[in-house]
Amino acid sequence: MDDVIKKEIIKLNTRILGESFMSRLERIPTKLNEFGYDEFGFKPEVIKYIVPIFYFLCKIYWRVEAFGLQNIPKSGRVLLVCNHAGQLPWDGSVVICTIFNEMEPPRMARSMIEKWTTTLPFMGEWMSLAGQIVGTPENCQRLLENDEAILVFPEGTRGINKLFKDRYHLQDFGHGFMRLALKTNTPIIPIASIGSEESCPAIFNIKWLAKLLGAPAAPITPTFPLLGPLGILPYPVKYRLYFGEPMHFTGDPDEDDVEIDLKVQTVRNTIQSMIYDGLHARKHVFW
Amino acid sequence: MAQEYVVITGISGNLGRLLAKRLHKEEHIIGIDRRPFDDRPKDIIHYQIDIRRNKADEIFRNHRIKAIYHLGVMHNPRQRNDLRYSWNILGTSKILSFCGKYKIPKFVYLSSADIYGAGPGNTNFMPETAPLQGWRGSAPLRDAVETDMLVQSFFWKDPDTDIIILRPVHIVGPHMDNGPMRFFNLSAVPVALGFDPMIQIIHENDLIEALYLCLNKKVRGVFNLEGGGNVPLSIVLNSLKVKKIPFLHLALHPILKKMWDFKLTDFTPDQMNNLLYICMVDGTRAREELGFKSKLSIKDTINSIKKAQ
Repeated sequence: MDDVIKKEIIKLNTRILGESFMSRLERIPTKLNEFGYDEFGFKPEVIKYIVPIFYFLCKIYWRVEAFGLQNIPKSGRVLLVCNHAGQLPWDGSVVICTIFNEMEPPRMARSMIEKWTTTLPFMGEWMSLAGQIVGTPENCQRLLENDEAILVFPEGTRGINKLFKDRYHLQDFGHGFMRLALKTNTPIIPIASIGSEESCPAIFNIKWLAKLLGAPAAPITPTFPLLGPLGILPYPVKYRLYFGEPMHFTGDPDEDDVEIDLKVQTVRNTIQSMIYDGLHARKHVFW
Repeated sequence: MAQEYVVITGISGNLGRLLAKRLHKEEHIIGIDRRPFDDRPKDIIHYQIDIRRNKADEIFRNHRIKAIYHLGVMHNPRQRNDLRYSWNILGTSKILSFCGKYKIPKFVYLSSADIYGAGPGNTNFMPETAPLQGWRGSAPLRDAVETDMLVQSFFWKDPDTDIIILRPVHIVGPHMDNGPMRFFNLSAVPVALGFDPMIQIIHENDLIEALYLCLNKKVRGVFNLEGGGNVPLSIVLNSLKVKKIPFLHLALHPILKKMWDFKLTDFTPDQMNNLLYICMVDGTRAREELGFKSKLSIKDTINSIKKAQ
């Protein structure tokens, strides 16, 4: 019964998206075991069922425009560094889907997720099936040494939960990604995502409520909690992604924070200036 | 040249017997176990004694020992806590003291990857230096952590003995009768709704090979032993056609605790974490220094779990 439903969904998806699109999945370079999983729990098979949702989100809802995709190496390890915003990590899924949809040959970027997501039922399981990894240094190193593409948001929760008034001002960057890049000799691609801030603008953050719930933030947006739980869904802004040129860094990964900070600031400044350029080029938020 | 012996404590257990069978043609084996080992091969000497007693001292004094395999550790969670503690900690202590006293060149202790503890935020492949979070668990797991740390402390106390600690993942196979085997051989198991952690399992034959490698390789230290790979728990359960009963994860702990208290199950409540979170190891060190690699694939290992009805 289960199998029949699954077959029908795949048939439907193939009809909507076309055979060539569905075959992109076969061409992702990952090492799978005999059950169809890679060692981190990624099951490319699962994407066949959810592809239409994300295709709809990227092509129709957000109408993502990507600039500079040629900067991403077609194979080999790469660290994608992006600005973070929007209360919920939709921007991560936009970057990953864009790279999957638009690059030739297709690449599956894996993003680093927070540890506490594994304590949530379903979230942890689905993230892992979709190829996302808990963000520990050992995991990241292992993946980079396997020549995977890793997406990181060095701003972390500081970035994703920032208020609308601070939009597009990059928060402090964590240093972990730079140490890993130095250790594994990985090129860094800076990414500026324009539109993520407006997709879920937080006017206010109720700090005491967040603490009470044990959540990283309790945001108030124009539609949340006014329209109930549906109000937290992202708005249909026009997403623009700018992929910068690869940045190479050399040095000792165990250097003092002060030294690493210099390199991190270089990346941060690059992304900040890419954001300003993107904002300058943008005429409207929603189209 | 005096005859050299290999001592195996816990020889009457499932793994002990397998190890004895593997070694007895090449080495002179002395078995020490409180339990009898009546159907043993003729060339194995068996002492049916309690290792904590002074009688054990005679064995080590009267024979020249080249290596000790310490498998004689109690894991049964239903065992009295004080007896298990005494057996594991005092017993292991005693054996370790013989190493220094009688200048025994090698000591191999079979620990477990369980002591790292399944928890959220565990890195996917834990190296040997990962913290041992098992102390958060119930008494049997805490004992296992403490015994492992006791053996570790002898790296410094007794630098002349090559001490090897092996931390294998869940051991399965036709001769095994441990927690994982009992779990997978149930007709129906509880699972947490929305959780499906990846697990690693190792076949008993692969484990015996790893133990065998320790004997002649000049190594020391802690080694994680991976199996043939890792798969989600649901895949193992589906392959073995075990019925899954989903529970809300918040309800699992109180339910399991009540079942444990009323002796309806032999699984301690904290083992529920294995249904929620990962506890997997990186076996690179064993591959590179011990030369150990699992021969059986994950599929074959899963197939070996189902007990012949």
